[in-house]
Amino acid sequence: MKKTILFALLLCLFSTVIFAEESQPASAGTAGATALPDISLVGNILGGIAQQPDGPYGVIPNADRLSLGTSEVEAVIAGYIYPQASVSTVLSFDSSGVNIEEAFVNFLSVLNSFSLKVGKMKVEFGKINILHSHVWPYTDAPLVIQNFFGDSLTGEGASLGYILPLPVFVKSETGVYDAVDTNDEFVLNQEMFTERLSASFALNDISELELGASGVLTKGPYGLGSNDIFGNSEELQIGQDDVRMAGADLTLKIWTGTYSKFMLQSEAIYLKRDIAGTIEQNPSDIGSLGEEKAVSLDRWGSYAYAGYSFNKYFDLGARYDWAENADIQINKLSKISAMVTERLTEGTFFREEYGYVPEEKSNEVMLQMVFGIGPHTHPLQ
Amino acid sequence: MKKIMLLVAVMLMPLTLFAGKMNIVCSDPNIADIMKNIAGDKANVESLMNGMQDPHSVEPRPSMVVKVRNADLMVVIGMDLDMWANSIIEASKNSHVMKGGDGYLDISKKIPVIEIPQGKVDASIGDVHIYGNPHYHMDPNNGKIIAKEILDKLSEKDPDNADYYKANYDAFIEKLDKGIAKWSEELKPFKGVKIAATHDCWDYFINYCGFDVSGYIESKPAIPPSPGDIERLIKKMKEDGTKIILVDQFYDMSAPEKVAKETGAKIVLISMAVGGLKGTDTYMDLFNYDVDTVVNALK
Repeated sequence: MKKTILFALLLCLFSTVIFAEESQPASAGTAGATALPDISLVGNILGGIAQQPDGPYGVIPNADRLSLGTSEVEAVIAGYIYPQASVSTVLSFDSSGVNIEEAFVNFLSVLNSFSLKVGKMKVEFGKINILHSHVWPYTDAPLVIQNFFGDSLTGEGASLGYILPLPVFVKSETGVYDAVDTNDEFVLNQEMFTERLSASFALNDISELELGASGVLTKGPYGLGSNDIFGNSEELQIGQDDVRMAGADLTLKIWTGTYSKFMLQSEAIYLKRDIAGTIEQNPSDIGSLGEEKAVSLDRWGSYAYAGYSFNKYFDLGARYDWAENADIQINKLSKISAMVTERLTEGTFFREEYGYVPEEKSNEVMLQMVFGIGPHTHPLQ
Repeated sequence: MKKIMLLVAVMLMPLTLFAGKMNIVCSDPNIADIMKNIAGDKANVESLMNGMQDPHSVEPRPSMVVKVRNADLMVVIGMDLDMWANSIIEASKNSHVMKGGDGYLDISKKIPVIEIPQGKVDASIGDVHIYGNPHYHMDPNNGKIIAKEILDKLSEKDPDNADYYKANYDAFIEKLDKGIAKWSEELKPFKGVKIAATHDCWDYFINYCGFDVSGYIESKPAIPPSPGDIERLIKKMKEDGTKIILVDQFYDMSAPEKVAKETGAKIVLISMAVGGLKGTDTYMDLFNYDVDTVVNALK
């Protein structure tokens, strides 16, 4: 029923756009009037071929053969609801159905110093979590993001932003949310507290260095509904683990020409998970109890990306990933990726990406096409 | 408790409290130069972009946010040419310079805009500006309108210095009128001459110069020319006897060079912005340079 209503609403909105554009009179400058919000559609078509059954990380629909599928379409509806207050709604359509990816009100200036976002939103943690995947310079999320967050870290709550009164850009973003479950790592309706401090320095006219530090306190499940490291099945206990994450990120951009740019970007994330209760440690005979012991996980992950935009139409990039998983049974993987992007416009491009996982000796080739219709602008990245 | 209140007071205090002059940020260097002429020594004026940047492709930088954060006045070209500035203005949390605030000025409101598209506008016709051609500052007559908008806003924001701004405005208009008379005289012999250009961004300048357009390198705005587009342009230029191709300072030369080679036309490299080329340090210098360069190429 929800899907039907949402589709009908979108159909009405798009129809309104079509009729409004045909009847709009000519006007001078930006004085031309329109009462419509900004409506845009962004499609992400993904495919490829991989040696691992899951892709290896899920982006390829049928990994055992070359295939393409429309991974996701986003409809973005944004506009002002009051002077200095805007709404941004992102609806995503994928194989699992329709999802409200983001829907928040942004009070752009509170007491002329703060901003306040209220609603459902991607959390400001790290550099790329807040960005939609179609603006990433690569196709798949870095391993550490996939392992620790799943799709992305999203919350329903509020976030307060503040730019410190300093001669350089230093921003604080503090959030209080109910975490939204995007994979098995974090659980519905548990409190999540976040803080991100970011600073940006113009090194000279043509380069800028951004540094960031982030932290998250929240809860996670125990056991992931599967077996512990000794093969003992444990019941899933919701929201009992203490989860803490800390991240540091760095982005260096050097504009070498009007349309050319070099970018270096890296993030490192640390995850600590204190599993609630205890796990049976060394069971011996059948029927006997092994030693019960609390388990605390310490996990790390990082990535580094370097890319060069030769002009408006062509980018080359490479990324190195290294990450442990967030499961009780530890697994460490690395990945080397190389990508080529050809742009038709700012919002429409083709990308080919090759990935190699040395630990599994597996190769994958990913193909991506992103298309954009409408005036979808992004917040400052 | 006292310490907390002091901390809150410091957080809410804008840095501009300590500045004697107004802080003015413009999205564009042409607007910024006109602003400097009128604001004089009563304001610190900065441009977010420089003359070598394409206004369609400016990447917002966090360091720009600090400038807007501390601004008393934010001036934009408008007409969606500098949409990139919106994310900077919104990130600044400075309510005065947000759209609708007392420190926000969209210069385009009084401009007689050309090429306002009719009917359905989408990417099938290229990257078309839906409110019309936004490169209005390339007609020096529009420079007078820009200056008047700036004068009115400065006088509103700082009425105590209104007379000072008016005097500067009058001096700027006198200088600009002399320039317009000089350039019009130089261009008179070439009225109606057929020229080519990279794209329709040049149309205000072309109209001011009185030229006719044979065609553009980009047959659809912001769409790289196909071999067929190039061939059609070459054919048209040969039919018209077109002798020059206007090329902006940051345009990729490969297509203009091919066309020039096939037609014998000269590539005339001129600037669309203050600071885009050596010798274009002010708005007056920009037109002195561009008009002189074009006239010399046509002689």
